[in-house]
Amino acid sequence: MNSLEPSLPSETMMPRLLSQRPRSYWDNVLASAVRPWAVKISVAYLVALSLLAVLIPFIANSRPYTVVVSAHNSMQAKRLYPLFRSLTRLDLIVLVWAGVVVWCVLHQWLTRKESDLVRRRQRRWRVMILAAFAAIALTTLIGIFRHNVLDVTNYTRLVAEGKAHGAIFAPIKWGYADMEPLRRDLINKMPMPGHPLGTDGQGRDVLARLLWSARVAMSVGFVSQIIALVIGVFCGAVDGYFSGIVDLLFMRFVEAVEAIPTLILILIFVATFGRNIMAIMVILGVTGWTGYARFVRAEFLRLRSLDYVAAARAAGLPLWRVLFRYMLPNGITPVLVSASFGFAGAVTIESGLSFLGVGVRPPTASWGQMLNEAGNPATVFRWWEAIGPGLAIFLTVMAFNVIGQALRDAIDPHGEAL
Amino acid sequence: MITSQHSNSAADASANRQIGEPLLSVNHLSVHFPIGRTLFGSPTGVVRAVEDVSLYINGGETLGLVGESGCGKTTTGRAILRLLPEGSARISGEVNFKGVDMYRMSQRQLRPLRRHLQIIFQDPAGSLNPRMNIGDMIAEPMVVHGLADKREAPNVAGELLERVGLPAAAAGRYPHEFSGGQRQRIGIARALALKPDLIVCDEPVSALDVSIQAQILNLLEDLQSELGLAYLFIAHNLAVVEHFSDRIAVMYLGRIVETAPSKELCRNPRHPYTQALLSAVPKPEPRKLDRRIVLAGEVPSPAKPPSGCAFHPRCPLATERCKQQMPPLEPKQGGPGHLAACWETK
Repeated sequence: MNSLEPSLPSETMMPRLLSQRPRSYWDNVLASAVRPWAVKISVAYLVALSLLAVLIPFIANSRPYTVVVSAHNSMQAKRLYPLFRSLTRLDLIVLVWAGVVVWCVLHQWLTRKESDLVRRRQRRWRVMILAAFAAIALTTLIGIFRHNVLDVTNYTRLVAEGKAHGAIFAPIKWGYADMEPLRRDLINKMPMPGHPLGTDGQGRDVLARLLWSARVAMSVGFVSQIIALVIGVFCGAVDGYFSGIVDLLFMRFVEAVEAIPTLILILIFVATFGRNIMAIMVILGVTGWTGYARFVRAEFLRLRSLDYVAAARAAGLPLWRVLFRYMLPNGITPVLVSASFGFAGAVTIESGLSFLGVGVRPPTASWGQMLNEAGNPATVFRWWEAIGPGLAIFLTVMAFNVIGQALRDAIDPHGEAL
Repeated sequence: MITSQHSNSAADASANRQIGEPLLSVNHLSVHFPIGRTLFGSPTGVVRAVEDVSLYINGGETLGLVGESGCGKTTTGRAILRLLPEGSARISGEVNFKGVDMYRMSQRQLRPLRRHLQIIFQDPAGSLNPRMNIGDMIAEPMVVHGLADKREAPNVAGELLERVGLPAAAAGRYPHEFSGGQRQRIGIARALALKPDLIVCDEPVSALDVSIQAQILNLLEDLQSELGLAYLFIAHNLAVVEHFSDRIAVMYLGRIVETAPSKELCRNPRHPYTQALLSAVPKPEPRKLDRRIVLAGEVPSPAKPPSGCAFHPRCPLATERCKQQMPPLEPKQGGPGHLAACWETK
């Protein structure tokens, strides 16, 4: 009936059992969660969106990967790499961390067939810790040594005027902020060749801005939810394990945090310190962990009376091992379900704030801001600028909800999968 | 804290002196669970799950602890290991293991001692961490206690699995891939990994088929003779305990009502409750004369235990005195070390 509980092998089935690959709980959950086609599409969509968020400077950029520029007063030509030279500090840091994540996932995938599980797990941990350290070190180095290069050269025009040649451009020849100031006729245009989604009121390419917005949406979701998860899981775990007076006091604190109106806090912050998307992520994180803490606490209250937790304590394992190796892996699933809904919520909040003009700072592109600009001034409504972001917000939120729902069904042994 | 000592200190002290210092001695252990909470967290009632229990176990011997469901046997076992969740119960009395009082130490100080005192659980499915493969589960405690280093621990775990009758290659598997009997073997292997002196077996066979029960009991017996283990064997089935134990203690509603060497208890039960339990054991050759004692009524709630002897509402011999006064656990006729708590039997 349920794929999570395969029929129990009898004593005589041992040889057959041993010939199969071991299947952990997560193998089973993922296999059954990803089965419906809607989930597959959602996962694919989100993977694509994440890739887009990381690789967007290479996809939509007005600076070519490489170009040969003939200098003014000499015949000597020079090969330049403007796109790589103008990568910002943020671009590099995002790339480093994405690289770490991809490397860890790849390593897990490559080592999945190794037979000695104990050693494999140790190696996995070592790889992840090393990767994290490398990423932190690189981030620091980039933060210190990398300076953002402002390159306002219009390479498209240089090429058109014959002052440069051999240019290799990104698939989309515009960044989020590039306009065509010399061509007034390209402002406010419907979709056409060269601008598949048209241009906005300042002559910027709508498609480029739509794609760049994925970075804002994904990073708001990721950063805020990771902050919330770390605080929530840690507090909930400690609280649920100790209970008693700790629990009593802690739950009052949680209620106090829950009483903080997040949106109003963000508005006050923006009014005082100006628009800052990083601060918004942090505020969303430090006010949004209470739900996770409640989930983890409830799970830990249940788990701590279970036999295998008692066995771990009876074996004299240190407290942190009992908490984070025996209890947390068994209590984390409802949190993950809730996190995928939380991610969707963060994306919606960011869009809403940007729509109201308190989110990202222009000219940074964000879906909410594009929606706002599509109807601004109120006399013209650029439907081509509204349709993309509207659809993107809808699809992103829906993808997270579909995945959250599928995870919830997969971990619930009693419910029928929808 | 609860202070309720009036009965059996003299009796069990003398028993202790005869044998010398036992491996485990439990003195006047009481476990009370607060129930219901007011707004400010003070309890509105209390469940007396274990009340004034004293027992001892010598090295290499088996003490059977028998009683109905809900009589406090499991709680006693957990309390001995100090496994009841912190803050959930009020515990008084002493649990001396290897001359150290388990409740006078911090959890941190307790950790090295825990290796000598292990537990096997009733529910083989619930006692294994579903997210961990069994090799890790067995190897991890050994590494933590320094009994094996990281490199050799997986091999030792494999050997242990073979010792309990599973292939060593099963180490990479997860608990849900095994049957009930196999899981119980894994639980035994995990307990053995730390080379304990005493294993609390909390109804280790009651969730298994009869044929598998025999296998597991034989395995436990083999291990005992091989490794000199002591067992506290908790069961609700006197038939299982009878052949397995050196001594038996019978519990009723949180108290020990009778304790005696195994054969003596079965041949000459003094407490009416023990007699009723024994009459419920199926015999290979039933005789007509064997009268089956069927107890009337339900087990009373440990939140509201009856006055006097807790057994009096169901006891065929009950008198006025039984309703008012609690009988002490005192020596009765028969072999040495035969104690029972009853006013009406000699």
